[in-house]
Amino acid sequence: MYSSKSSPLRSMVYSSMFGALTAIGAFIVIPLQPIPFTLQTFFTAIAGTLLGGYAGAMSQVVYVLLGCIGLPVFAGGKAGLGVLFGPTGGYLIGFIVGAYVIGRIMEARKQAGLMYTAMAILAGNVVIYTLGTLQLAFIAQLAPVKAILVGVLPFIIPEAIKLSAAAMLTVRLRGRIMTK
Amino acid sequence: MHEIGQYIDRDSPLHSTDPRVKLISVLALSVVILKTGPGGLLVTALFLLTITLCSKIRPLELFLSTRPVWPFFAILFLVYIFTTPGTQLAAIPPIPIAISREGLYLGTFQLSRFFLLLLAASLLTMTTSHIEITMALEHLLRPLKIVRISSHNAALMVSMALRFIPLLQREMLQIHQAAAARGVAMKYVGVQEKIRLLVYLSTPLVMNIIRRSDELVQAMEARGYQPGPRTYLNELVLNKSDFYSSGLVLLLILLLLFLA
Repeated sequence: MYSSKSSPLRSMVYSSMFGALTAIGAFIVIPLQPIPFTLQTFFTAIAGTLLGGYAGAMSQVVYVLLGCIGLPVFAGGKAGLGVLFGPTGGYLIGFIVGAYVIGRIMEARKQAGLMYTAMAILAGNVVIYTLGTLQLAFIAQLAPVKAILVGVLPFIIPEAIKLSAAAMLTVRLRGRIMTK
Repeated sequence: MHEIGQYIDRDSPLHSTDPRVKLISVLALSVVILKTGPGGLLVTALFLLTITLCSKIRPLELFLSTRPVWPFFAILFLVYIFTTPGTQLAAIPPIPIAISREGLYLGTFQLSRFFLLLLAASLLTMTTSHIEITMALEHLLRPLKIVRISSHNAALMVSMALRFIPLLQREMLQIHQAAAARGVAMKYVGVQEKIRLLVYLSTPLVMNIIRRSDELVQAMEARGYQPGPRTYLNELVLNKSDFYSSGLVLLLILLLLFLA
C-alpha cells in the first residue's frame, strides 16, 4: 500500500488526473426533467472520497485553474477568471473546500460504509452550496432567501442522485487507489 | 496539441503582451469593476471595445463567447426586477408581483457589471494560449512557496490535466457508445435506474484513470523525475511595451476608483 503522504509525486499525478476528470464531468450531461445536470460535482465528491483531503482539494484546484486559463469547464460551458469573481464563483471555491472536507471525513475512518460515505459527501455538498450561496448573495446583493431560491433549490434533486451514485461508486472502488 | 477553449490565434499587440501583465490586469479590473459606479462601467466598456479592436478580434466574437451565461443572467435579471421594492412600473394582473423602477435599474446595473467582468476575462483567454497562461500562473504563484505550495507543481499538474483531457474525453465517449450499443438509454429510465447506470458507466472511467495515473507515476519515477524549479524553452521577459500597457491599465483603474 502507498499512502498519499509517502509519495508526493503519486498524489500530484492523481490530483492532476482527477482535476481533468472533474473538468470532463462538466461535459457529461445527464438528461433529467425539468433541467438536465452535469456530472462535475459527482467527480468532485469522488476525488474527495478516493484521494483524501489534501489531494482531493488539490485536484479541485487543478480543475479551477483549468477553467481560469480558458477551458470551458465551469457549469454551462463557462470559462475564465470572470467566473471566479462573478456571482457563481463561490461554488468554485466551494469545490476545493468541499473536496477537502469530504476527504478529511473519509480519512477519519479506515473502512467507511455506504452510509458513512454518503454522509461525508453530504457534508461536502453543504460546504459547496453554503460558500456558493454566500458569494451569490454578496456579489449579486441578493437577500439570503432569494440567493437560496436561485442558488440551491434547483440543484437539490440532481445533487441527491449524484450523491447516491458517488457513495456507491466509492464503496465499489475502495482500496483500488494508491495501490499497485 | 489542439486547443479546446476560446483561444484565437491572431497577430496583434494584445496577443504579444506578456501574459503576466494581462492576467494581473484582468484580476485588478475584476475587483474595481465590482466597486465602480455607472460612469465607470461606461468607461470600462469603451476601454474593452478599444482593446478588442486592437487585438483583431471581432467584437461580435467576444460578445458571443459569453453565450453560456445568458440563461443564468436572464433568471438573475428577473429576480432583480420582480423582487426589489420601490416605485411600481407595471403590474401583471393575475400574479401579485410587480416590476419596480428600482429593480429595473439595479438589475441593469448589476448585470452590466457581471457582463463586463466576463468580457474582460474572455478577452484574456481569447488572446492568450493555455501554455502562456499556465506559465504566467506559475510565475505569479511563486510567492506561495512560503505556505509550502510549489507553483511549479501546480503548473505541472495543470499541464498534465490539459494533456489528458482529450484522452479522457475519448475514453468517456467509447464507454458511452459501448453502453448505447447494449441498449442503455439514460434518457428514458427512472431516477433509481439512473443512479445505477451512473455507477456502472463511471466505474470503468475512474478505473482507467487510476490505472493511467499509476503508469504515469511509474514512468516519471523511472526517468528520475524530481519536483522543483524548471527551465523553459521560451522564458517570459517584460519589455517596454508591457510597461506601457501596465501603466495604461493602472490609469484606467484609478479612473474607475474615482468614478465609484
